[in-house]
Amino acid sequence: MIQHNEKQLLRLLNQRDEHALKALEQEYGTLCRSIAADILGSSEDAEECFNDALLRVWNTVPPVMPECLRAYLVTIVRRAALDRYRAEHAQRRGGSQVPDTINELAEILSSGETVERELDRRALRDGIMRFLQTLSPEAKTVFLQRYWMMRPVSEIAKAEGMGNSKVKMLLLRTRNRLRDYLMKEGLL
Amino acid sequence: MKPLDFLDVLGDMEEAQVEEMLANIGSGSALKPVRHSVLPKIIVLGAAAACAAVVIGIGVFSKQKDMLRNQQSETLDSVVTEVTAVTGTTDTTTGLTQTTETTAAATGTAVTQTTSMTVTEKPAETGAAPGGAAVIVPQNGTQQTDAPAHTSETQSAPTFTATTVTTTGTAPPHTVIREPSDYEIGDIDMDGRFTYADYYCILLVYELRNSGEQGKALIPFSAEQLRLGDVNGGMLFSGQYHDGYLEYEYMMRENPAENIDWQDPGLVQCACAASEYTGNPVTPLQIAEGYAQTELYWNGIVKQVIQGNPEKYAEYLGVYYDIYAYVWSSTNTGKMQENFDTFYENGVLMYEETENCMLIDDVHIRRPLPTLDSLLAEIADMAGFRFV
Repeated sequence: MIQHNEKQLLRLLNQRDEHALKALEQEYGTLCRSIAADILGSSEDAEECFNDALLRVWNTVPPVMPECLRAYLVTIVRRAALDRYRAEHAQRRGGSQVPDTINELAEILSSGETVERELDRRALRDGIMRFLQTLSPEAKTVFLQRYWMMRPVSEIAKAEGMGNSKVKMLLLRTRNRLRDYLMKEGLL
Repeated sequence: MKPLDFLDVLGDMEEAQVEEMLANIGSGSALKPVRHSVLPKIIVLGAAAACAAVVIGIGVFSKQKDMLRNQQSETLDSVVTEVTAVTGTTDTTTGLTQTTETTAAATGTAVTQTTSMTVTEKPAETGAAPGGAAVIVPQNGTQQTDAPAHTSETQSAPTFTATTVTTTGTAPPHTVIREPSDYEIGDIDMDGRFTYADYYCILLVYELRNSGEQGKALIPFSAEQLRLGDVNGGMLFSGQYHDGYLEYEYMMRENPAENIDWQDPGLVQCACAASEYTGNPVTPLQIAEGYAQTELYWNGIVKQVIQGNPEKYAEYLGVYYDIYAYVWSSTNTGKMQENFDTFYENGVLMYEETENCMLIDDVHIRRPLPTLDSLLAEIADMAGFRFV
């Protein structure tokens, strides 16, 4: 199995060499499918989502030249999975981590209002990013694995060498801190 | 904002941040390896000068019926080096055997009084403790072990000497494979009872140590000592919920001990440990009585330590004021907070609020009370221990 670094992958994409897609699948397929599956709760849906994301990468690179191709790809996968989740919300299957993460976040995000305006969204994003910088590395990685990657608690615990309870406790405290932070910033 | 929106917005993270996140996966703290067994030690309180580290042993016993021993002894000049097998009358209802013996010390003319408590597994019955763990039910009217004898006329500071206790005869195997439901903990606060205050102490001590704030952890637990698959005698107890909530909480809500000097760390310890297994509420008088028993230990220690080593005093307080501040802060009694602040302002308590120390509050107050087994398993989980 040939391993490619990101530069090589970008070169293949720029050259419109279809081997790029195979290479992307080889390098990042497992990670992407995992993220999608945790969101959608279905490996079939995850596969479709990943394929859609690959196509999107193919269609956008170039002209987009991501600095971190892996990050670019997983972000597309995540967005696509969430969009699909939203669309299929009424018929969602079990196994998705989204309902659990939503329930967890609902404890601190009580408002039912949707973030509609671009300005609000940008302000919220910036606020969240600033908040993330206040976290310890441990809390940050756990938080992001849970709410960005939608990983189950048990997988996070395993990845970080922690017990499940510690992960849950870290998440609880971080959510509370997030709530306090967002309120202080006037974003909640 | 809707949670799904939050998840969406979180996805707007920049590439570099996403990449950093992916790169940092797996860089968290590892579970503490639990490979070593450590001989547990018990605290031996003496009446001589100088304060030494207090080490408390913890062990576990298997689900099969085992005989274990809890000893508290006071020695003036000698150190107990061996625990002899104790036999006595066993109350088949409570499973509790209590004997007292006095033996001559190995050196000098000091007298050692030893009070022993043997724990056996209580026969299963309706309403037995969760997980089938041994239930300790004090005999009627007896809350504590006999008061230790003080032959000294003056209350000079007691000696704290770490002692290794070895069991003989029916001692369980060195290492036992344990299930979470078999967790038991030791009498950390030396009150002769087995309560949640004890394992809060463990948790807090461990958490303090785990967070790197070694200076605040008086009891030098090691991760290995807290591994509850280790069977080498020592003090093994199990706690029990009563009427659906922790008994000390019941006590604090229903019978606030207003006449007691809350500043005294011995009292803190005592009051923390005033849980009751018989179902009778603990009255302020009982707290005071318990306080009286611990006063000799703790006031002596405190005085000695303040005179000789203020940092040590803070360390002592650090252990118990963690409980004081966090387990009890949930009751929101102004007096407690006031006392806590006083100590803090005086610079005696080098205490800092950390995430780890909030653990107790989170565990108890913000969620429905779990069963003992799940709570203990969760505590161990959070502390990073693995059952082997």
